This record gives sequence, C-alpha cells and structure tokens, in this order.
Amino acid sequence: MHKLTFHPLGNADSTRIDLDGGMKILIDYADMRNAQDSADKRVDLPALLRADLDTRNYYDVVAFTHLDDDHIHGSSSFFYLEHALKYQDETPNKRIRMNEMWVPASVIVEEQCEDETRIIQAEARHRFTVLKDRIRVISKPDRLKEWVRTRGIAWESVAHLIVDAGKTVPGFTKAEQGVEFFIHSPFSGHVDAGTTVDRNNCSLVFQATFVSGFRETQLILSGDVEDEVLADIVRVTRYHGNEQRLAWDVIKIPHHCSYKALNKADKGKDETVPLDSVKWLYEQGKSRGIIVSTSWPVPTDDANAQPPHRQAANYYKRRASVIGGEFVVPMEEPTKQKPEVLVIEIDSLGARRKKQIVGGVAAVISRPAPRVG
Amino acid sequence: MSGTDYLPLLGQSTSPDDLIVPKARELVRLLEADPPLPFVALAECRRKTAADGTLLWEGIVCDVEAELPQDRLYDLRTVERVAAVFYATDATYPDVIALRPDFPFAPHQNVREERIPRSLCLYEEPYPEVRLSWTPIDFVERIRLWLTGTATGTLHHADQPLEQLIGGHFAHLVLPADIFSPEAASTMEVLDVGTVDASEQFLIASRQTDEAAHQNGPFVALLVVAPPQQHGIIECLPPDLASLHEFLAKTGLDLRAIVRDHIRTWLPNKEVLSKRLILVVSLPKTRELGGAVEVLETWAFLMLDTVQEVGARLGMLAAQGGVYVPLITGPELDGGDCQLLMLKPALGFDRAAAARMNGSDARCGKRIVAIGMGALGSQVFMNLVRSAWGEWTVVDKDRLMPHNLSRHALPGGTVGLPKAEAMALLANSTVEGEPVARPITADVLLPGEQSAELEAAFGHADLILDMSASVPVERHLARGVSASARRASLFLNPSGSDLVMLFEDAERHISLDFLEMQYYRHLAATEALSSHMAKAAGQVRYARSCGDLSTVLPSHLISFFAAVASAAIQEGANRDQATISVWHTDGNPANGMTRHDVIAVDPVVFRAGEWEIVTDASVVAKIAEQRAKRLPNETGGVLIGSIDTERKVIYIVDTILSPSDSVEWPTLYVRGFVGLGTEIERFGRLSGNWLGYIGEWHSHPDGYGTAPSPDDRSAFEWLTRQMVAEGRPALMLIAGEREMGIYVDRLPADLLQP
Repeated sequence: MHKLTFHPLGNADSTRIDLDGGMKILIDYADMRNAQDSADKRVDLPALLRADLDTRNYYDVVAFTHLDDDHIHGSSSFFYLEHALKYQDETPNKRIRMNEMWVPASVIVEEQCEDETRIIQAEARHRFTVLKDRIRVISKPDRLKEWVRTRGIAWESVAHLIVDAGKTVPGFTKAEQGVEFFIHSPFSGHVDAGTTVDRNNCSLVFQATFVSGFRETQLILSGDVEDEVLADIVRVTRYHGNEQRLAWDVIKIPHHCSYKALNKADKGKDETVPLDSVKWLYEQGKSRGIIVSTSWPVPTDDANAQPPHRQAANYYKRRASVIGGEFVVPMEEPTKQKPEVLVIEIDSLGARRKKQIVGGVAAVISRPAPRVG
Repeated sequence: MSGTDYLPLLGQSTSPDDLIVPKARELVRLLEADPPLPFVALAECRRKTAADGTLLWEGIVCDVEAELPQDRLYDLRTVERVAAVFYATDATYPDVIALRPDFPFAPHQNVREERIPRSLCLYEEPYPEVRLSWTPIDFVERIRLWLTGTATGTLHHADQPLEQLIGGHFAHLVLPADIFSPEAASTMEVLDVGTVDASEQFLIASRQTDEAAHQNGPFVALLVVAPPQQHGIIECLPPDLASLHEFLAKTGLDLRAIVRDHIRTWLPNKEVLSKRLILVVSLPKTRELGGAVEVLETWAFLMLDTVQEVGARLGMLAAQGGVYVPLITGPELDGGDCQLLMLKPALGFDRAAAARMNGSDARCGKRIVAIGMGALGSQVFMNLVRSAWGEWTVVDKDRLMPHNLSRHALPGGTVGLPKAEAMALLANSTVEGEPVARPITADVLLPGEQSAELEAAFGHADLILDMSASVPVERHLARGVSASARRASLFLNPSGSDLVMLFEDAERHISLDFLEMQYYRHLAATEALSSHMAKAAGQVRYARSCGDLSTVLPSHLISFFAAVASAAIQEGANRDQATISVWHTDGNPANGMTRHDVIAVDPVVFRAGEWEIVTDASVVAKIAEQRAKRLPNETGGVLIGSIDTERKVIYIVDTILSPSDSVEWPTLYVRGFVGLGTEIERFGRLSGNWLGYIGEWHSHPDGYGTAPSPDDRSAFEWLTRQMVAEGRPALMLIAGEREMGIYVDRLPADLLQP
C-alpha cells in the first residue's frame, strides 16, 4: 500500500509520499504555523514529519516545486544542507537529509534570490555544480545551459542530472518501486520566456503512477501553475498522444484553489468556467477520484482577493460529484475546527481517503487532561 | 449528495431533545458533540408510537461517510443516509436501515419481508452480549465499517440473516449431512421429512432410501440446487411460491415447472399427495464468474398446502368430492396463493462436520481397536469420535452396571447392555454416515468364540489402544497378539490422580511391556511422582464377590483425564517415536497438572535358556562403569526389575550398587547388605511393587571372561535354593571386560569339571 499525506498548512504545500517498499518522498516543505497563535489551526509540520520519520534521518527524495515561501518556508532549519557547515548539525535527527533533491531548472538560474529562497537555491546549485550528484534538475532551457557555460563548467559533466519534461524520472519504475514519475513541466520554453523567472509558471508538475496488484492509480501534483501553463501541458501531452499521462485518480489542484489556474480572465459569478484545455484535464479524472485543494478553507464570499476562490472550488466540487468522487480541502478535514493531516491510501482498489474518527478513550489518552484544581 | 431522494422513515418527526430511548439519546448526543464528529451528521429524529400511545421506537436519521476506495464491489456512495431505529424495549438489535432507494443488495443484510429498504447486519454477537458494551461511537464505527467492508469485500463475519429478522421465529429443518457433498451432487432430490414431536418446530429430513426413524413423516421435501451465482438473489422473504419462483428465475431455474413435474410423478402415490410440501433451495455462490463455489446459501420453506393442494393452486389438479384429479387442460396458475413459511435449515452431523467443528482439516481414518470401554475408555472414545478421529472397533467384555453410571459415557437407559455394543450404538447415532464403530463383546484374554473376529480386527488395525486398566491385558497385547499395529496403553494410577500413556514407536522396537518397565524406573527415580503409586483412599464393594471392587473417584477427574488422553493419543499417533508420559495432579485438577515425559530407550535383549532377558544400554553402562571404577578389585550389586513368569521374561531396569559393607578384592567379591532392604523397599513402594529384587551381579577382572568361577557356581546354587520359595529362578550376571554373562535358573555345564 502506498500512502499520500497532505498537510493542512493554509495556502501552502507539503505532501509526503510513502511508497509500499518503504521509500519516503517529500514534495515541498512549508512550516507555516505560528506557534504563538493558539487560534492557528495549521499543523506543526516539522513535528509531524519527525514523528513519522521516527529514528530515520532522511528522505529518499525531497522535491521543491518552486521557490516561493509557501513551498519552502522553514526548510533551511529542517534539512541538512550540503553547501554550508552552518546547516550541518550532526546531532542525530536534528537535521533531516535529502538523499536526492528535485528542482525545476528555474531554481538554478533565478537571479537575486533572497533569504530562504537563496539558501535552497545555494543548496541546489552546490549539488548541481560541485557535487554533481544527488540532484535532479527538471528541463534544460537555454538559460540553464548559458548559466552553466558562464561558470566554466562542462555541460557534459552535469547533463546526467537533467530530466526533461515528457520523460520519467530515472530510479523509479513501476516494476521495482511500484511508482513512476512522469514530468509534465516546466518546459524549457517556460523558463526561457520573459526576462525574469516566473516562479509559479515554472513550477514542477508531474504525474505519479502507483502500482498495487493489477491496479494503477495516478496522482497529479500541479505546483502553482496558472491556466495557460496547464493548457500548454494539455496541448503538448495530447500532441504527443500521451493522454494517459494526464489521467488522475488523485489531483492536487494548482495554486491553492485560485480561479487563475482555471481561467485567469474570468473568475465567473458562482463558478469559474475553465479554459477548454484545462477543462479537458479535469475531465480525465477517473471514477471516484479525489481532488485536493491545499488551501485555506473555501470562503462563502468574495471578500478576500487571495485564493482560495469559491468560484473555483464550485467548479472542482461539481467535477468531483460528476465522477462520484470528492473535493477535499485539508484545512477543512476532518473538521474545520481541528484540521488534521489528510491521508490517502493507495492499494489494489485504487485511492481511498482515510476517515478516522478519534474519540472516546483513544482521544482522552492521546492528550493531556485539562487542568483541575 | 444533495438532490438524492431518500426513502422516508416512518413515524413522526421529533426534536432531539425529546428523545426517550436511552441509546437514541446517546447517539444524538454524540452526533451533536462540539466540536462535531467528522464523517457523520444528524439529519433528523423520528418516533413511532402504537395506537394506544405506547412508544415503539425512535429513529435517528444520519448521513454517514465511510472510508471507501475508488473501486467498490457494490455501488456504495461517499455519503449514505441511514436510519438507526432503537426499539423502546431494547430487546433486539437497533435496526440500521439504508434510506437510499437504490442501495445495493449485498451480503450481510438482514432478510426482511420487504426488499426495500435494506437493513444492515452489523453484529454477529447475540444482542445481550452487544448490549453489555454498546457505545454510540462503536455503533457509528460499525456502520462505517460495514460500508467499507462491503465495498472492499473484507467483511468476514458470518451471515446470520434469519436470526435477525424482527419477530422472526422459525422451525428447524435438519438435512442429511452429506446432502451437498460433491459425491451427492445431484441437483434435485426428494426427501422424507418427519417431526420430533407434535409441535412441528423441529423437522428432520432423511433420504427415502434411509431406514431412518423419520421415514414416512407428514412432509415431503424437494431439494433444488441452483446454478452457481456470484451474488445473493433472495433479497427478502418470499411470501409465496410465485415470489420464490421469480427470485430463482434469475439463476435460470424454473421452480414452478420443477414443482409441477414432481407433482406429476407423484400422482399415482396417494400417500405423497396428502403430505405437505417443503422446498429446499440451495444457492452456491462463487467469488468470480465461473470460479469455485465458496459459500452455499440454503433456504427452506414449508408450504401450508399439501402436494395435491399445491397442484390445484398451480392449475394441475381439481378437487372432486374430496379427491384430487388431474386436469387435462387447466389454467396455468402462478402459485401466488401458495403461501410459504420460512424454515431454518441445518445440516446433520457427519465425519466431515465433526472434523470441521473440531478444527481439523480432515477426518483421521486410522483403524483403531480400543480395548476397555470403562469410565476412561468410553469418554476418550466419544471425544475422538466427535472429532472425526479414527474408525473404531470397540472391545469390552462387560455389561453396563448401575454403579458405572457414576463416571461412564453411557446414559442410564443402557444399564444391562454390553458396553461395547452400547458405545458403538452411541457413536454411530452421533455421527451420520457409514458406522464409525463396530462392537466386539469379548474378553481379550479369553475370547472364546470371538477369537477369530478379534484376531481379524487386530490384523486390520493401525493402532491397538488399551484402555482396560489391566496389566495382563496390556502385556497380552504387547506379546500375545500377532499384529503389526502399534500399541498404546492408557490408564490412571491407583488413586486416580495421574494419567499415564505408553505409546509404542511406529516400528515397534520398544514394545508396550518394556515401556511399562521404563515407566516404573522413572517413578522410582522421580521425587515429584513419589505419591503416584499410593493406594486409593478407599474402595467400594458393589457386589458380593472379592473382585467386585470399584475405586472411589470423582467423575470430573475421569472427564479431565479423558480430555487430556484424547489430545495425547492424537499427539502420540502423529509421532513416530515411542512415548511415555505421566500427567500428575494433586487429585484436584483445578489446581493444574504437571507433565512428565520419559525418553523411551531401545531394549537390549539376552537369551538364557528358555528365558528372555530384556534390559537397556543405561543399565549395561551403569554396571560396566562401576566395574571399571573398582578395578583391579571385583565389585557387584543387586539387580532391580520385574519377572514375567508366565511369558518367561525378565526385565532388568536398574541396579543397586555395592552396599558399603561389601568386600571387594581383586579375586573376590562379597556383596554386603547395609541399606539394601531399605533401598529395595523404596523401589517397590515407588513402582507399586512392580519392581523389586531379581538377582545379583558381580564383576570379573580383566582377562577372566564371564564364565562362572567355582565360587560363582556355589553362590548360584545358594541363590537357586533361596529363590525356590519365591517360585522364581536364580539370576546371576557377570560383568567382564568386554561382555556380560547372564545366567538364569541353571548354569552351563562346567567344561573344566570331569
């Protein structure tokens, strides 16, 4: 059984994939909770991850879909980084190692990064150009080749670290690990476009195909891309006759349920009407598939311009109901009052969202009793 | 799931605050908890009262969300609306009803009179047990688990649809045990059905060929086996023949035509025509299309009508002046007015059922001749018969006496019957099918006319099981019966506090009599068993003769050891090695028991004239070691063992080494006697006097061989004179450098003497 764990972190992402064979893959890390604020319902990400790791001190893969704060927040204090001693506390389990790091090419070439973004970028550059190991850089835009050339590094010495869009990530096969990762984005064109890097639209989008028994279950993690990039992905994939690479049983929708990921031009009154190609993508959902929105709870009005947008949510909900599936927001599950990690198990019957009720004695003994006097 | 039109729950809407039934209140309190429980939401509360205002039930309608995978065996939805109906009396399970009109028909649903709504079967425990620990959260989880389990096919508890029907009470129908066995794979069969009493509450079916007691009963049953199906097809209680026909039509069976055909063949038989008809329908279920049959669902229905009345209702016959006559062209009626009463079918008890119910994969077909159907034997025998272990010949010479009832497996009505015959009858009437036991009433030691039959039984046996509690019988079986079967002996110690089992090895290297000797040796050497051979507290004379003694022993002790023995026999038979085991209690099995296993050793056999001397390597080694230790002096001691004068066998099981007042010289040995009496008495006491002094041994120095010296000859003569009084032979063992010389009764002629 494979397992997906989505963490309720507000408008931020961190998704863990536990493979049947024991490998652990973390997609993004965003420790967003404000410990000082007792009303903050976001989970304590590092604590949960450490509890899950137990005595283990590494992830097999840590992927950063892009370098926005809501995908990397706090990662410089959680991970053991190779590029500077400062991030290399040897106390057991103090810092968690990344046996392999996945980043889109934009992470390497972006300029004038600051703060935490700069630290993660430094780590990626270090692995890419100094270690020349333990990293996968997604796509090879001209900008990347240029960046490598200007640093006097032979392209051949780093080429093996590149994975192109339209390819599967080496090291994972359906037969051996029970999973295959197919890269959709970024395309080289997305990174080469414009004068500066558009992080969201250059973020990592991939499809994972999990095998359990005779059943293949597909997950799409779509970073923070907007409508046009999604439309590009659909166009290119269909052009190559790779329609099945866009099928999904579970999909993490982009950008925290923003209408811009469906149709930037028109939010719609009560329901966003997506661009045709985007609509096609959502129609690839298999029976009883699950749509996950890593966002704040869906509002009932339009007071906040930031996502999530209720119009977008309404579209996703309708899509989910058409296939008899579910649209879930981890911040609303199992209750808005007390959100908990959202777990989806994948076995020979497909994906199954865990729905555990913790109550009675189990609840009483799993927390301190209230003070009495 | 908005927009679904759910079925309405009866009764009147009521406020959650007005609920009266405690479990309904508890459930609502849980559903209204703050923070709210995830995955379950209250929709409404309803209540039903009788015309006189008595509260009948309160129903809680809620939306339940269970963990469901994408791929589901049945069309279950993410959110299902269910009603939990709590009866005011709380005498029966809360009814959990699915309110979606197209909720699927799946396993683990209660059979009701209506098809819809479906009722979920949540519990396999009886309700009084459920009630003890019922909690609302567990109740909700059971519903969710039912949904998950049904969707994934992982709900494994047994279907018990009939038990849970509200107000349902059905007569039982027992079918022949092998009716559905592959050998009896006919898809249609007619059975005779009788009742055990006038109440019609318990019906027993038998094959028409059987000479069973229930022959010629007031019912006739028609058994129909449907083609295998993947799913259940009887979704609710069919009230009449037409409804049952409709259900079965889905399998391709034309039930009405089958009934018609049979009535037609019964037409010449007035007796059958006036019997009431029972329909038994068997529905084999497979997991996959065309797969192996995994479950057999059996339904049985009793008709209110006789065969001829059914014929009339189907338009085949017409009543004319109290006589039914066939109609050449009658209307084809559908049988919608042939009412059905549901029966609870059960299968008879045969070897396969016995094995299954006792947790064995298959019956054990070993042929066993059991001697001794006394208290222990009768109970052990029945235990093993009930577990389908063995095909038996039971041998006993006695008839059941009244005092036997204190501990015997036989019931009072059998007093005066030969035990073997009564036990065989008991076994054969317990287990259906070919007789599992055959009796021989004979004394094994004096079989008389039965000797040929007994010999044949021994000859065919895989195991000869002695439970006669008689040493002569055991010795006779060991040495007096020529058959290849392994022998085993089971008996209690004199006080009844311990059980003993001796089990020969598969090759019969160590025969029962020598196992008996090794058991005695173990008793003498084991402090914990020092009370084993102590006499019973008292004996009761049940008649006038001296031999008519019976031990005072609580019945429960026999039952306890019968249970232990039943397990031990199976264990022993499954193992090739010989076994000597003693199960020891302090007389009260409630205090527990300890098990002593003795490693059985192979015999070392010598011959001396007409005598056979049986000993083993440990005795030989003990003597040889002592000899070597004392060199250059001679040494010696006395031999401990047993003599079977009847068969001329001497068992040497131990030795008492040279007493402290002995004289040991290089060419001389005088055995002393200090402490000897005490030590021999100890052997006797601990072994129940089966062990004692049997002779002398001494060593010869290296190079002197084991031939008796002149002194040895004098000593032997003295010994012979002494043993005359005992009626036993003199025994002298001489231990030499490489060998042992054993002399019994007479010495070989001295070659050196003229």
